[in-house]
Amino acid sequence: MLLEMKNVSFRYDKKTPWILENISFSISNTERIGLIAPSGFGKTTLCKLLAGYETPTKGEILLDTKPLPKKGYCPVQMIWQHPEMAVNTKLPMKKILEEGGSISEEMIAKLGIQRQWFSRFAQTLSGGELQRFCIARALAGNPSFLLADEISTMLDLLTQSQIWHFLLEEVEKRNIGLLVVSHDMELLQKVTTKQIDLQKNAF
Amino acid sequence: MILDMQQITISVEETKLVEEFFLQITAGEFVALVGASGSGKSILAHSIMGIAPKNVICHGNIKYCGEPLTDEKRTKILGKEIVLVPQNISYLDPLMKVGRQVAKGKKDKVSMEKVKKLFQKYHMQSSVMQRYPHMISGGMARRVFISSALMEQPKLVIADEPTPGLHKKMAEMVVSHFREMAEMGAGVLMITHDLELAIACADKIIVLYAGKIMEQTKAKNFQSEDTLYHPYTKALWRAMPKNGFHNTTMIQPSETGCPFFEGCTQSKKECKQNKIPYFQKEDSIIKCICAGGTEICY
Amino acid sequence: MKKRIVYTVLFLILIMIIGYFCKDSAIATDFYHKNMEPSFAYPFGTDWMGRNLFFRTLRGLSISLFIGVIASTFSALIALFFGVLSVFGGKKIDTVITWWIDLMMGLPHLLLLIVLSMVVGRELKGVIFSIALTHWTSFARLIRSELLQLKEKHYIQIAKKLGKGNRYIFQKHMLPHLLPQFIVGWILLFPHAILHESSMTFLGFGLNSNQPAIGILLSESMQYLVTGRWWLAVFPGFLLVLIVLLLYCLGKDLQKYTSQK
Repeated sequence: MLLEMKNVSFRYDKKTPWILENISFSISNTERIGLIAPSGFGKTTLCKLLAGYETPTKGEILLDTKPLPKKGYCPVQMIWQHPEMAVNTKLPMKKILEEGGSISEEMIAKLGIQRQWFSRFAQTLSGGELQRFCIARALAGNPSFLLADEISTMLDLLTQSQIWHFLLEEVEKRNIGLLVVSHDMELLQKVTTKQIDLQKNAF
Repeated sequence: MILDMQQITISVEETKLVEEFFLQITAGEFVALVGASGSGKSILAHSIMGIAPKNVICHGNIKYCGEPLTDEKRTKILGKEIVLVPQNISYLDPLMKVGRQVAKGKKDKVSMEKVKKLFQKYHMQSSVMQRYPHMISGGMARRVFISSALMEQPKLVIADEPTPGLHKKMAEMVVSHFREMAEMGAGVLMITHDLELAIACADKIIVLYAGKIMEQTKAKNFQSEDTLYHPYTKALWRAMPKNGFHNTTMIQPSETGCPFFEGCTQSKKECKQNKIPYFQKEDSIIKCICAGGTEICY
Repeated sequence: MKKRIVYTVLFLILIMIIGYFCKDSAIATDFYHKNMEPSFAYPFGTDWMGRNLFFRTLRGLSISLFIGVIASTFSALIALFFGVLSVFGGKKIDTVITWWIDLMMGLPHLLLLIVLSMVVGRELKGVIFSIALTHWTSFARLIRSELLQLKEKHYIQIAKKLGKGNRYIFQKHMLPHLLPQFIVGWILLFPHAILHESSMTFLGFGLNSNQPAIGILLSESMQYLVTGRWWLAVFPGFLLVLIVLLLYCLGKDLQKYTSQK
């Protein structure tokens, strides 16, 4: 599987300046690529485009030479930076988890998700605990690609390393392509095989 | 001693968020309070400032410059001698121009001139003064907060998570401004989840886990694992990407005894006992019975 | 606050029930005791036909509340329908609906009420029909903007990418957020509906004069006010204002209560 971005430019409307201009690159489902760029560069926008949350103003995004599906399950899943915004505070965690599909007991155990959290609501869990739910939810379906947008910036070091070790094992086992966005070069070097500096535009 | 806190317990309804907390800050000292999200660190800052929600109850002794910090005293010195650098833009009034907020509503020439100078110092054009809060970026907002803090001559600066969402260079720049404040003689308390940043800039680091202090140590002791004594702190050190990115199994903090009981490789039966005292070892204070050192009472 | 909400609701229900049982006593005439000032036996006094004003007022209030419940329920449902359609129906439908809402809000309210009521043939059904059809606009706009905001939430966008349809998203994600607001909005429609019912009836375009609605009581009292029979206007008027205020406070309380949760 190949996820491609071809000459993509993006802006919200004609009055606002370009957020991304003429960006092309590709990632296969056996690769782990890290993107590094300063804040305000549009890294999140790039992820949203790749996962189909936004459509490019110019250019196209192709998954195995076909455009991303407009409706239904999207094989490119994104994990967001702020887990507390990515879950509905009016639903118990069990419902949130089930939204992704069925999740194996093994995955729940490996992520360190406690059974007693299932009946609780998001407000009563910490960012690190919520992020584990978000990761489980994203992996529950059968994604071909996973986009991780600064997913561990708000977490402490122990949780960060736990979550990454889990993710690396999982994408390796299931042949999922991984795109990691972070400002932490040391982290990127640990978790990805290739790093791209967006500012240098080395596509 | 600018701030001296002892035997602090903070609870919401029945749950204890922070227990047996202590903290000393002297003039010119930069202290970083490091903990995972949900470890109760933000509520600590708010409790010192007296701006925590009403259902939050704080017990213990807080002394400011040798005198107990009462509500009466707070109203006199908050915003003048003690300033808070908040987390995000939502602490700014969205309908007031940034410059006026920094000047605290004053319009006289002296204040405006001062704001201008401060903005210049932090690399912001004076046109930024005319903008409204939603028109400035996250990094700029932090610098606005810092300028605002420096309008008076603070003796104690409390920064609550001043860097999330900022690029590493920007975060380092923001933190360097706190460093400057400390060098000017203020005590600085930075609350953060980012241990690496804390190591880079602070004098003293307090590691908080599940509402309890695990270890208080000098920042330079983080250069090597050997100068760290608590198993939790060691685990944090090893989990840094540059120090091996070591994996641990996910555990829940224990309710009794040492919160890190389950994750610790050298834990004994006694560690699950009700109370773990604090030990002094060289210039560190550790809550662990296995690390050695002399027992102290906090 | 929870207690206050419960008491208010109980009080309102009580008025409706008492009003229901006052049906006959409200129209019973007694010419021996006409034009009496308020006294122990007749707390609100009697009118020129010797009818007990206390019962008439209670009956009137209960009629008003009844109309309020029905009309605002219909109004709220219409608002929900158009609000949801506007958000999920696509851009064209949204433009038409917002245009229509703006248009309705631009027209004078009372005029529209009277015209609609006349079309259906006044009386109870005319009043309910016209109130239901005119009060949904600002509420629909509120629902629309609330849904639009919810639509932008990360977790709703994520649900979409996980392959969930509009129906699922509305039921599971939006409804739990919308419901408290919907109930508050619905309650806050009450005072409007009741006041408009009374003013329509007062002007003679609403309920029939043989029904002791508050509007009828007030308009009848106008003829006797100059002769010094103040109680005919004061008690019904005062209680109408009281009920409207109570409903308004109930709505505000609920709003606070749900936003706390």
